[in-house]
Amino acid sequence: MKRTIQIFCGVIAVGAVTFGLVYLPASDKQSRSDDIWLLSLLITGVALLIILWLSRPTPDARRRPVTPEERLRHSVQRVSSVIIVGFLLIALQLLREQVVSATDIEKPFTTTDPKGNLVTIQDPRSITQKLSNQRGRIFDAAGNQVAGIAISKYGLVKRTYDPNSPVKQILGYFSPLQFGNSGLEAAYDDYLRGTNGTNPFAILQRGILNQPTVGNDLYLTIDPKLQQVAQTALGQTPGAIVLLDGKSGAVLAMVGYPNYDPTALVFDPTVDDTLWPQEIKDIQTRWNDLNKDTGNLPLLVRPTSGLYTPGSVFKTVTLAGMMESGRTRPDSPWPDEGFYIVDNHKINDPNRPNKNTTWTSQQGYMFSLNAVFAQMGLQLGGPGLTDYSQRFGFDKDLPFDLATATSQSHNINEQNYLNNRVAQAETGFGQGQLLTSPLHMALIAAAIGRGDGVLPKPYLVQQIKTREGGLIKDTQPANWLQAVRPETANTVRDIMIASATDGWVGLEGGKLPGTNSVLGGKTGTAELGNGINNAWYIAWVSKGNRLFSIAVLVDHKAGGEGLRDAMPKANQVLNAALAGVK
Amino acid sequence: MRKNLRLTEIQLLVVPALLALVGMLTVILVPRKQVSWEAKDLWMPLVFIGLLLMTHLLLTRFLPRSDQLILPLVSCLTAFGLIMVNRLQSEQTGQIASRQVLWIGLGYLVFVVTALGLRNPMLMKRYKYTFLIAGLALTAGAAVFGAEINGARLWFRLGIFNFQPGEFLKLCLVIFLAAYLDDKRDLLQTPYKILGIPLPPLPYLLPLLGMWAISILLLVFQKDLGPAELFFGIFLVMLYVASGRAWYVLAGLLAFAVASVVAYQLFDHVQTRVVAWLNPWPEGQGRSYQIVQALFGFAQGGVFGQGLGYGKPNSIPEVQTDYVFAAIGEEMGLAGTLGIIALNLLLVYRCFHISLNARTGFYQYLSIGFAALLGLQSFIIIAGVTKLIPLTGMTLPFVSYGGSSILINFLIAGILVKISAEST
Repeated sequence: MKRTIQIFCGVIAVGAVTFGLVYLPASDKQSRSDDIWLLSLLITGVALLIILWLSRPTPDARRRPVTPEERLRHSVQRVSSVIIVGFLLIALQLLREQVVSATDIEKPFTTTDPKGNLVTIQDPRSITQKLSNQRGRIFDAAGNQVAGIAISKYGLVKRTYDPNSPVKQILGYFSPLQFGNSGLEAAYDDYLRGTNGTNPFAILQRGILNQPTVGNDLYLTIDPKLQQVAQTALGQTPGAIVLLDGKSGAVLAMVGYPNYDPTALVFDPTVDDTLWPQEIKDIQTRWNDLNKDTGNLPLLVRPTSGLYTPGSVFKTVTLAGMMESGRTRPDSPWPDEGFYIVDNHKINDPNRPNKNTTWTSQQGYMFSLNAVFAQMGLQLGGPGLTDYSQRFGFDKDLPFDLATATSQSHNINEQNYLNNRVAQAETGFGQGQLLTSPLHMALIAAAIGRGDGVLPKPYLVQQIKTREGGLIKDTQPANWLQAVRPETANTVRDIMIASATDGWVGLEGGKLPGTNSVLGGKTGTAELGNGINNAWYIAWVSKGNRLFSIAVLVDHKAGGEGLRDAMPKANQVLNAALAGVK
Repeated sequence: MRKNLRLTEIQLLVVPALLALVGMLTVILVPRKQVSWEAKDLWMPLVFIGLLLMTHLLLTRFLPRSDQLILPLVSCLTAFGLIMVNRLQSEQTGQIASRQVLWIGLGYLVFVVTALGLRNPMLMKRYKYTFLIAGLALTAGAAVFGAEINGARLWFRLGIFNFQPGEFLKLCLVIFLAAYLDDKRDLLQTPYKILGIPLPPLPYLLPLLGMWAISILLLVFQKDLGPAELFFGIFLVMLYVASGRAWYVLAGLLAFAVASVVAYQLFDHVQTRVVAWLNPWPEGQGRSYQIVQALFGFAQGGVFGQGLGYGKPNSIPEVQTDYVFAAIGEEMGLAGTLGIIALNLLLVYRCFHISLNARTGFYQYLSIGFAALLGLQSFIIIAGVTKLIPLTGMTLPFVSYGGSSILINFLIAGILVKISAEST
């Protein structure tokens, strides 16, 4: 009986401690209330006391005489069991505070103080630690250092940037004390801080020797020359340009405007610490200004996180869907009298180069005929449009080194939208509720240009190396989606080439003379109503064994039209890219 | 001859000697960031080692058969204290390190004088009421005439030295309780019956309760709850050991619970402590600033600590006295904190060991009282700074900065050694 109770109490004690240490509810971690933990410690203490109490029975004076020494010894044993349980509970408390929950305790805690002010309680020690971490550097594909560090004589570290590098606008900001990190600084924080990719023994050794942690370096796929050309081409036009290596998915250039300079948000701990409060205030002001600018949204990373109506560039997806499902061939005829009427809704088609009333599928694409693609949209129907846009990555999370916005075939809250015939027709030529990002359109162009219908998995970080140059990670090209069969992709590829030679693109200056390359392209002008347009151009170009794909977006703020405003910017970038290929 | 050499003690004393030397070197060299020092930088640990050797030799010469573990254990804790006080000395604290060395020196002197000079400790029993009245009078005097520091009147200012009679009162109470319980032990152990119902021998318990009430009252009016908790704990332990009745303890704990609720209702500073215990975070920049900073310190410490000199324990206010344990946790980690706990446990167990081998009942109760005093005091302050129980201000025996505390603790250690020398 006694033994049973002892075992039972032992199980309770171990269970209560394990529960308190391991299974503490998340809400408790959130509020940092220790009620449940203290209760589990109390249960543990009582259970242990019962075990120790029972293991030393009181000498029974009725059975045999008890000497005073024996009585004293017994009392002392009981007192010592109480003391040992007390110190054991302290040891458990220390185990929790110093090891198990230490990282939770160290996190900044935001709360309202009794006066109702919002305060953040943060460990001053962790601030110094954060500031003395020798963060990893970031290099572009040519090996130029884009982001580095400067170390003060007290060992405090500042993030520095090459002021002339066009690459810094895509890095994201680094603000561990105030706003956290974004972009690559957030996505690769573990590597940059050195907690990931570093030999655990080296971390332990640095800890023991009190050396600052040393981060690992990122080597990007961005080609600084092409990035510079892209940045110049875009200039101060609201929009974005994404240039990919179509074969691997490596991002060669990626610019957006408006953007921001991460230098403006960097805290400089290398100055005298009496200047810190003013510095923090200044950074906060700049941050508030960036956030208040809702007209320009400078913090929005347009190439990856901006979502825009694709307009006619989406016809590439519609056409591929029609071909893939066998509903049409390049030479299939379509009626087009300059407009198309569906359910009493008139769709205008101002793009015809002449008054002909019959056009082939290929011509429909070359001259971007809305009436033809409205009919294709109707033939594909709601399920077909959804299916083929999803095969090209719509409604799917786009995997990338930076945060990406998810393109949509239609608004997810309006499930029945594509059952409507007008909606099907409009979606067919890229309007409707379609939304997509420049990066995504560049991937779609790549899938056609490759001729195999595969959207590559895009990437921005080619290699991660230790500061000494030891290779930690080398990104291998990978596929994201097989959108259509290679035969379909090849057919669409030929039509895209035709578009860039004899279609509007080719006729209006889209050719790249003297480059000795094969080009396929498609413009788009998405109508947002009230005469406001997004201008698009997507293209791929192959030369030798290289394939480049590009997407250019000009935001409705600049207004414009694909042929006039987007295509010339792409041509500047593509010419520069081809110049480097023999 | 070999029997009288105290080889265990001298071997164990190597530990605190090395601890003081290496710790002091670390504390000196870390801020300099280079490995170069002069002999005079090390005067503190060298003085400390000298004290250890002198004490050891005197014990070998005059009390060769006394306990050999008390001195090394106490010296280890003192060495920790010496290192930490040097580590924590800053512009805010003033010259605490050299003062601590002075106290430690006086402490060892008190230790030797007590152990060697106390020819007949049984005399303390005869003067039990003298001790009680002296302790109470001094504490009451401090409450009326003393200097106010940090909002509590606990100190007498004597030149550079602030004497805290509360520390002396602890010692007096243990001596009185031990003597009184030894006198009345038979009566306490025989059931006292009225109409066949067993009752405690009230006529004999009343003086004890009265003494307890007076000391608690004194302390409550001084706004210092830690010693009240401690006295109460010592009182329960000694009563239990003398009477062998667990339900006295249970009744006492019940009374304590009632007193706590009343104190919580009456005193703001008690409420502050309870709030800071249950969830200090919402007021982490206000009333709970100190404990939150200590929790950050512990969390930073991890298993092996930031390393001596590499943490920032000075962000905890009053770190050198009440919160010295948090500084150890930050810079020496779980290894350091568990080490301190182990040393305290060993010290308490050694006191029990001395008690069980003691020659008279008075000695037995006295050493149990000292065990309870040292054990409970370190428990209350360590559990307080680790937020296991509400914090009540008290020094960590032998480690914290503070003159009165060190002198009284060394006096206790001296009495323990003397008792062990008298044992059979």
